[in-house]
Amino acid sequence: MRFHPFLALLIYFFFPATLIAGDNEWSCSTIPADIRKNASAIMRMSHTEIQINSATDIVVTQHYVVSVLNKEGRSYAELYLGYDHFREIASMHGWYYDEQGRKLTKLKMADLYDHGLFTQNFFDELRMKSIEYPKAVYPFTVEYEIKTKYTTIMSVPSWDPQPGYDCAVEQADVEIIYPRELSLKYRVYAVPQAPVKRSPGQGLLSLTAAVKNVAAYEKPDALTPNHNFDGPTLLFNINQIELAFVKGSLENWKSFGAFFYNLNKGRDSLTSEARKVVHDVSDTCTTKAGKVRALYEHLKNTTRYVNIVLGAGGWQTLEAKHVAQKGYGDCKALTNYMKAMLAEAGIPAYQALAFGGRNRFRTMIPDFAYNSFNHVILCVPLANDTMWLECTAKDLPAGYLSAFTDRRNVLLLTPDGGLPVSTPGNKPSDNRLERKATLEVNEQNELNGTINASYAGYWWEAERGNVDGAKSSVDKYFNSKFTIPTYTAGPYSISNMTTGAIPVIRESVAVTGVADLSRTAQNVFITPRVFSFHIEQPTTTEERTDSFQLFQNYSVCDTTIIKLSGTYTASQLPRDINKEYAFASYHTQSFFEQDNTLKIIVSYSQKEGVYPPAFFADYLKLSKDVNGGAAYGRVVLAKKQ
Amino acid sequence: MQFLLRLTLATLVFVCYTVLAHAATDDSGINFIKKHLKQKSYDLDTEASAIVLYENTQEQIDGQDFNYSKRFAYKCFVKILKPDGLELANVRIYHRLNTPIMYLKGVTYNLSDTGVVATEFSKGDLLQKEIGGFVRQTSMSMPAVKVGSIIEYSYEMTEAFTGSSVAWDIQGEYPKLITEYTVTYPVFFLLTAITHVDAAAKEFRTEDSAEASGQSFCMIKQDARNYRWRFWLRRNVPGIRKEPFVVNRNNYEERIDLQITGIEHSWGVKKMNNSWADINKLLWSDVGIKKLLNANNGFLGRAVDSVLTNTMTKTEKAKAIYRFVRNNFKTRSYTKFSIPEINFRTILEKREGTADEINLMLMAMLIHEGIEAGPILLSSTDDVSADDAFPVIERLDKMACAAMIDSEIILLDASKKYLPFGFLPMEYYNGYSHILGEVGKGIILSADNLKDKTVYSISMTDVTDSTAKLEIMQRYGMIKSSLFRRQYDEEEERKEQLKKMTAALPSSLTVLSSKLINENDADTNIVIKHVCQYSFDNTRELAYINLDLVRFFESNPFKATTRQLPIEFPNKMEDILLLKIQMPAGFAPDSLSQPLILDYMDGGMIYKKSINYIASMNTLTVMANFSVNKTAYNPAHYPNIRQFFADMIADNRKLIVLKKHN
Repeated sequence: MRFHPFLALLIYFFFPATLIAGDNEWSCSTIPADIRKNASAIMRMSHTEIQINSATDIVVTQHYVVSVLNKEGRSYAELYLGYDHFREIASMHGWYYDEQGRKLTKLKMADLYDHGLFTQNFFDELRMKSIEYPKAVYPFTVEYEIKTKYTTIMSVPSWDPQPGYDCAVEQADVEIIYPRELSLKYRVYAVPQAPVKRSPGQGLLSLTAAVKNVAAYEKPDALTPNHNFDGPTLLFNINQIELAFVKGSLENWKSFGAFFYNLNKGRDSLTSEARKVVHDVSDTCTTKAGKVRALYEHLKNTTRYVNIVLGAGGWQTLEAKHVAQKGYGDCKALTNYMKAMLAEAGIPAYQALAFGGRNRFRTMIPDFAYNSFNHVILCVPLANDTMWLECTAKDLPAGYLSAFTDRRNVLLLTPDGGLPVSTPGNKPSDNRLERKATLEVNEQNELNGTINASYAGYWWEAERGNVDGAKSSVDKYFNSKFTIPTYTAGPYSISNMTTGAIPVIRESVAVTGVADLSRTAQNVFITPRVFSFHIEQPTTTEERTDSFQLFQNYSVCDTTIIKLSGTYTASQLPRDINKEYAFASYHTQSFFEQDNTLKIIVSYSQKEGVYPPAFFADYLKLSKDVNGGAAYGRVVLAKKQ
Repeated sequence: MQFLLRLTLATLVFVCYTVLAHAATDDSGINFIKKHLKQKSYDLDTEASAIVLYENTQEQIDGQDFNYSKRFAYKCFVKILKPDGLELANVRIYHRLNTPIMYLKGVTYNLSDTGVVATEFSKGDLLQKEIGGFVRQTSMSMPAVKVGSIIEYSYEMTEAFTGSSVAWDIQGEYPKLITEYTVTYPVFFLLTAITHVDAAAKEFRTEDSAEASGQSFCMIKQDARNYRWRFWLRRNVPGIRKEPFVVNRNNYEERIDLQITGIEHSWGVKKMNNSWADINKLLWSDVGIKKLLNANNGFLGRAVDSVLTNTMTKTEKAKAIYRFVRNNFKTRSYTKFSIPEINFRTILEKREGTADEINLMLMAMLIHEGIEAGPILLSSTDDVSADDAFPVIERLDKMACAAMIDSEIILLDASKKYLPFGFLPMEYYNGYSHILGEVGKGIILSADNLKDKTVYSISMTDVTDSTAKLEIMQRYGMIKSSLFRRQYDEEEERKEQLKKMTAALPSSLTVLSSKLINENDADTNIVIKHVCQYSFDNTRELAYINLDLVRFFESNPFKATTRQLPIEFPNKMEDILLLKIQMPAGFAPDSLSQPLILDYMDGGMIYKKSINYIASMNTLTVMANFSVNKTAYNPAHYPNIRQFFADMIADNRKLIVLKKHN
């Protein structure tokens, strides 16, 4: 058969075109324009297969393609594959493409840099296989296929195909394949289509979920509400778990708690010597609360926090006798030791799994058990009240949980299983900052006086680190904390006390310096700002479409009294402000008294909560006023003739 | 046989010194521990969180024919005085992967009703892991430690000795009552000690006599048939504080470097590393940098062809080549570096290399275009400054390019995207540096080599009855510009920073626009421009204008009342504020402050301000200028410098008061 020359031409033109189309599957020009908005990278496709063979044999295969549009999106092309005792990187393949989608290089497992890590832990076994994308010509595309083997379901991550706020997703799907006898529970967030269950046969079941065209979103700021999940997420659990030869179920919070209780059971025995110490320390106390306090002080004085993660050590505590002997441990170990000491003193206590964090922390979902914890604290039920103990901090009073663990759901580990409960929080009046400056300014603008302050609760937490260091660093702190442009602080006194269960720092500081003051023949101009405090300042001034969250209840009252030499009348005082909002109140008052004394009182009170976007404009204005010191506007005084 | 004999002797010497060293604490045995367990604070530093009661470091070099080993032994006793000091109970030792830690011992001492309680560290609690491919981290968390405890730990390791020096860090963050150092080395090594200690060491014959003398700095020299050993003892060493305005804290920490400067052979002495000329010859000629840079590099010429023209001067060519390399090559983090393995073709093709490789390629390109160039060896502020009189090799941790054009030396580092032509990173300006070449040349790089000029200009125009347009422009100097680009190297970070700057403007201004200009071009000055609307109340008799819309300093940067270290500015600088105000109709200045000049140390630091009112144009101009012309001051100047800043800030914040005409 002979080809017509025209046919030959067709073949010539057709085949190269086909080849180009195949090669250019990942050309950046094919990314839809609407999905590029606010995006530094696009997840072109992501397919995750989670093959659960048993509670101790799980294989996760991820195949994804990311186009990086600019420098900010570069991290999405980089690979950081952590592995440890419970997970192994079984294989990895990678391909790099240029803007047109032409394949540039191929990457294999041997190209990854395998290394141990410096981490925040004193010691751990975490290692990493990593590579950075070598070129910097944007845009470009990477494709990876990674297979990871897990020996416990606890280490298997949930499915969250949007890796960051500035990465949009064209399409992503997940398939979980599991034996019929392993009951799988799941929960989805921001996944519009309900996941689909199938029976592929051979005693297996599968669950699939998918998302398409997920846009990049605004970078979260300090006011972004505490969503557990910012992008599409599928959480899942099976009814079996095995770790360190302990078996259990994660089916619900009760069984979840029971598993951790059993994992750590029997690790709270003390040596006879340690038991004797418990009695020496606590037997003279007449009340249970007194015993708890005495033993908690003993814990703080004789142990220190050291985080060592070895094998199951991320989940299973060191034995109490180890802590008693060595004097150190992580949160699990110190809490377990404290629990053991209390048990010896005849006081039952329960460990509580918590997610520690001051603002954006992960919260428990009441009706879905999943690992939402990174910390352990201790709950001591007493006759009239429950006492909570943070066993890793050396300076917290007994019964005081800081903003790191207060006001959230935690999971108590009891012999009957897990029990979700809430930790207490301080009342706004407990989190109070009160300051008073009494200053005198002479004709040469020299200033001297005293500043007294009381920091309670939340404010104590912020202040304690500033005033418990070496004298030179405390000196430096006092010489920089007030909003006077140039001054010297000292002498000063600091006292630490507890009012009820609320810790308080009281300070008294003498200051000398130069007043922020200008003089003309007839007038004196003063910027009377000595104090400042800051509320969260939004990073955006644009309209907010999402709610915003204030994470703390607290109040502030600052009084500034400046006595001048000479006599004056007030030509201009800062305008009084009286603002009452659902989320906060802000009141300022200025007085000029006795021809020479300026007095400014500022009070602010904030209520924690999530507030609708409609309130944002008010909050923005308030934050500008508070942070900008609107209460301390220019004062103009005219000399009395 | 000879080797075994030498090894035995060396071990004997070592053991002898180990025993002697222990004697320093064992002189009173348990009483030493008991005494210090009872002591609550120390006159040496009453604020310290911990104090090193005794520290002993021993190094022993052994071997022959370029096959040497180093045995390192360390022992210390530390008293924990405050909760902050508990961190010292978590001991981490970093060492080579193939170097085992030997004879590790740890004990914590506490005082109880029954006396001293010693709790030993259990070897079972020892933790080890590899980090970064070639380093092992050995960790020991000392047991039973609380405030008031004394911890003791010691260990040894033996590893191949491939360097040319050893060092004793006498001073650190925590104060030390006694610290000792011993080095033992074969007689065929010539070792030169470079002492970085304020006091002179008094020589003694024996350790007992040194101990008994109470001298703050002692040394003993003893030579055996095959070995020499040197011993130093230093007492009452204060901890070094962290203070602002210190360019290189390392320069103020006591230490001794010992460098091998010769080897005795049967045929005579081969001297080495003795002078900068030695180093120059070694690297330039023997190692082969000269050959590498002057090889037939025609392909490099072709690579830069497109950015060069025939009419360019040498400086223009150098600039073009520098920009080509800086803008087109990615800097890989440091890996193995070996001159013979450098392949410019590969670097050119991959468009990436280590910082050293990129700068060497830059030199080769310049040389190919007829511009004299060579490597400059530098000690960054991560280490003590290099010494012009003697080359301590360990201190030389960086390399850049020095181009010679019309007898001017131009310093270049093309591995940093943020650097303009002719500048090196700030941390490279750290004293003596050496340019390799046929003869080599030393130059001093210091803060005095750098001068930066930032101009703030504010103009008020378009004045109406109640509003005016205010333009605030900041034109950063080249140094400040490069630091800005270095700190905020992502576009997102720069946007955030601009937002912060805008938010920091007085709330009385309505910001109409804010712009960051030249943010990506490393060869230009960064300009920040805000256009605002200024509102005033023309019903009032008085109006006032802040001079501090742009402040030289927000508050006094010298917070502490006392100072341990000299005050060092990172560069000479001049900040200029120009303010031009078209006055609102009906207003004139109420009273104008007199011109002010603050001059510290005969022009070392100057602050000047003058205000002029041109009545015919109803215009007010203010010019303020702050300059640092001398960059280093000893600590005795601290109160005066603090006061200078206080006075300047007070003046800088003064108002211009405007009064309505009647």
